[in-house]
Amino acid sequence: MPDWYKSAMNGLYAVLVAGVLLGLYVILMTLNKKTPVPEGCENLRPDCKACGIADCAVRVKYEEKEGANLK
Amino acid sequence: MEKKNGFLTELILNNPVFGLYLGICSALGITTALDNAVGMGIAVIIILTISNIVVSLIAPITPDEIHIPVYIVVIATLVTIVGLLMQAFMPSLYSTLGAFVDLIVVNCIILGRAEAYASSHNVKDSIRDGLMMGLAYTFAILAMSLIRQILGTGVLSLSNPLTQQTIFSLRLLPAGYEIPVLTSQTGAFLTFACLAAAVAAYKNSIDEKEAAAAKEAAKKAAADKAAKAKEAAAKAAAAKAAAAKAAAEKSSVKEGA
Amino acid sequence: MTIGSLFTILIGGMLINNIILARFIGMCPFMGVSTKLSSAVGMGIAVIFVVFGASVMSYLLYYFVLVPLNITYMRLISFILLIASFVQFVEMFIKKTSPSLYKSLGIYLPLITTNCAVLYVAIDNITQKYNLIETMVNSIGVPAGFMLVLVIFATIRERLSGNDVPKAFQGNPIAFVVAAIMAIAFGAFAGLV
Repeated sequence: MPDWYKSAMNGLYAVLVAGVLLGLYVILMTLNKKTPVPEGCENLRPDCKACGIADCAVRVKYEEKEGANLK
Repeated sequence: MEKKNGFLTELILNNPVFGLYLGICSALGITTALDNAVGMGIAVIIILTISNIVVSLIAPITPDEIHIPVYIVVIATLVTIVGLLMQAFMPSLYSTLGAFVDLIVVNCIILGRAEAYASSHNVKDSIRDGLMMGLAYTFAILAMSLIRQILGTGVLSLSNPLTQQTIFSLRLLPAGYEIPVLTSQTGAFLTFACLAAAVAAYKNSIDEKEAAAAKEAAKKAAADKAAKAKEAAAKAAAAKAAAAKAAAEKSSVKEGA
Repeated sequence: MTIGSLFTILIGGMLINNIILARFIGMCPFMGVSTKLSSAVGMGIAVIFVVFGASVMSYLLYYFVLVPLNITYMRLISFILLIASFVQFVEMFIKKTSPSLYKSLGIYLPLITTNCAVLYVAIDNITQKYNLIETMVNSIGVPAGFMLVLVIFATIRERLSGNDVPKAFQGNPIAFVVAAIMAIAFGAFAGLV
């Protein structure tokens, strides 16, 4: 086997693995989105309103819902 | 970025580390020496800028549902590249930073900026934003590491990460006067608490000043209004008096006639 | 590998090299959800579960896919994608099977995707060259240490909220001072093993 063939296959494997994992993530994400939230859990809110961490996913959702700017 | 305040004020007030508590893991973990902070800062600036460029380029062609997975792959690829380069050319820095190089992937600043800014702005603005945020992060970890290194070891030194030659080494505190606890974990938390409190105090003072100015302005406006009302009242009174006088004069004239 | 070495890994991950107080990893959720005891417990359980599952899966992926294909440089990318997928799967699974569990943990699951603790444990298991059993032990010990500190910290912060703190220190800065004092206390575990 020539060298270039080996490295090309290596790169191909890398792209394939990344592609499979990315596909898995996207599929699971869409499935998760489709699954309805169980009853009584629609308005779950964390107890961390006062936290200063602007990036947390929960906080972003909360801001969207309440229209509150917590900065 | 608003151009209202000076560059430095902006860097302090909108600092992602002290103001918004983003990326605090690495800010606490690697700031024992100036070398680490410089290396980490440069790595973050490079990754943040390139990820902002790439994200702003691919954002228009990325379907909305899968944008987060795509951004994660972009950032992870960049971090892998930078990590491998570091391993090859600055092995000692790479081993001191340890897992924190890999953890740049989950550094909240980078994914946060990609989502909040780069995905909806053009390339030029995204580059500026990436540089600005990276500089603010670097500024924060430099401040932390300066305090911890000077007070903790008494010596300020910087070495070239490529050749490991010492660029300069200054003894700022006499031996025996340093505070070794600052180089430990406790020192990291304490230094961070004090700096975050200082930023908060600075913010509070600016807010208070603004509030005071607003109050003053409101007072002035009220005073102006009152003065105007008074003037108007005075005018009205004067007019009334004049009218009365005129009437009186008229009547007297009439009487005289 | 003996029971003794496994115990060393467990105690080392949980107390001596505590992920928050000694390694500063996972600070974001630590500062965010430590204001109330109930949320600290919920977050702690969610983190233990996700870290354990994701680490074991990352271990299998690394040694059975990446190493044979000679693409170990894909470690970071594949791990982060695997963790993100696993969190999505867990959330969906809990939604379908147990609404009551979702009620107590659901809100913390999305927080965990970008939690550095999960990625850190997965990578740490590889760099320390642990085998599968050691990986499992380490993946329980480290998040258990996270939960322990989170719960202790939440109880302290509940008390703290009623105190008169200088204005600049209110909120997170005083929490960091508390963390500094706790780091001194946990420093005493260093001589344990």
